[in-house]
Amino acid sequence: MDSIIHVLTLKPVLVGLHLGFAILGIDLLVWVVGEAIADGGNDKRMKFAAFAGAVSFIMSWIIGGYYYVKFYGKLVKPIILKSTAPWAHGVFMEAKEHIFLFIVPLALTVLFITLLGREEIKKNNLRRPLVILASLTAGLGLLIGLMGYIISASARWG
Amino acid sequence: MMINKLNKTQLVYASAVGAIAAVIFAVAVTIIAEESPGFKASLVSVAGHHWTTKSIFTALVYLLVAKYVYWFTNEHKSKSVVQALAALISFAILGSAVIFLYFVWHYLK
Repeated sequence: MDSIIHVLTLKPVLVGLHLGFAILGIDLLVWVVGEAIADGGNDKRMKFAAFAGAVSFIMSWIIGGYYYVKFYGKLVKPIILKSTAPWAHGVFMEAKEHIFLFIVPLALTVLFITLLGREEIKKNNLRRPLVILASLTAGLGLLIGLMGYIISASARWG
Repeated sequence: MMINKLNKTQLVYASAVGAIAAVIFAVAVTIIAEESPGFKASLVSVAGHHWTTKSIFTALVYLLVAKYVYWFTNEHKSKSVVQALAALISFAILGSAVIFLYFVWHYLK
């Protein structure tokens, strides 16, 4: 058990898990958008995708937060600030870490809409808001991912 | 199952309002902490790191507002739910833009 925890808290593993769960969350929300637009199949698939998407974003938040608090400030931030791209921290890291604060409430709201089921979603005119909100949450996830790439690149090659 | 006993439309409305509150809180606490070193230090004193405190408080704002709206406001019909979701979408876009542009300004000043 100790060795599993040790491996899971290695820096590259933390970054990989943070990114992996974020990508999974984005893909699952895109799946929700597809289910809502196609309006076919059963409700369980859409609910599963929304539930798993919310869980993935929560995991990305916790793992990314642990890495950020424990390692980023001490080890990565000084490198970026001394690099040719200090704005990678000053703009992109600061924006990323604060926009992420409200991604999970957005993903949970998407989940709660899907729990209504297709018939209730249609009856309550919620199909369009669901598509837009799920797309927005996935889109913000992609933007945050792009910011993460900029930050990593500046630490490696700046 | 417990989820079947919930008023699911009211839950969506409550979550949307809670999420709007979370967006507003996240934007406000971010900017205030950057402009006030004393406030930022007080955030650090709560949970050891300012970001951890902001995360916890944002989550609490979402949960408490959503819970209050779900339990203590009148049942909301579909038109209000659509409006709440439209407002959430607008606030999320605006909140993200404000945060990004604030840090661009903050870096350049």
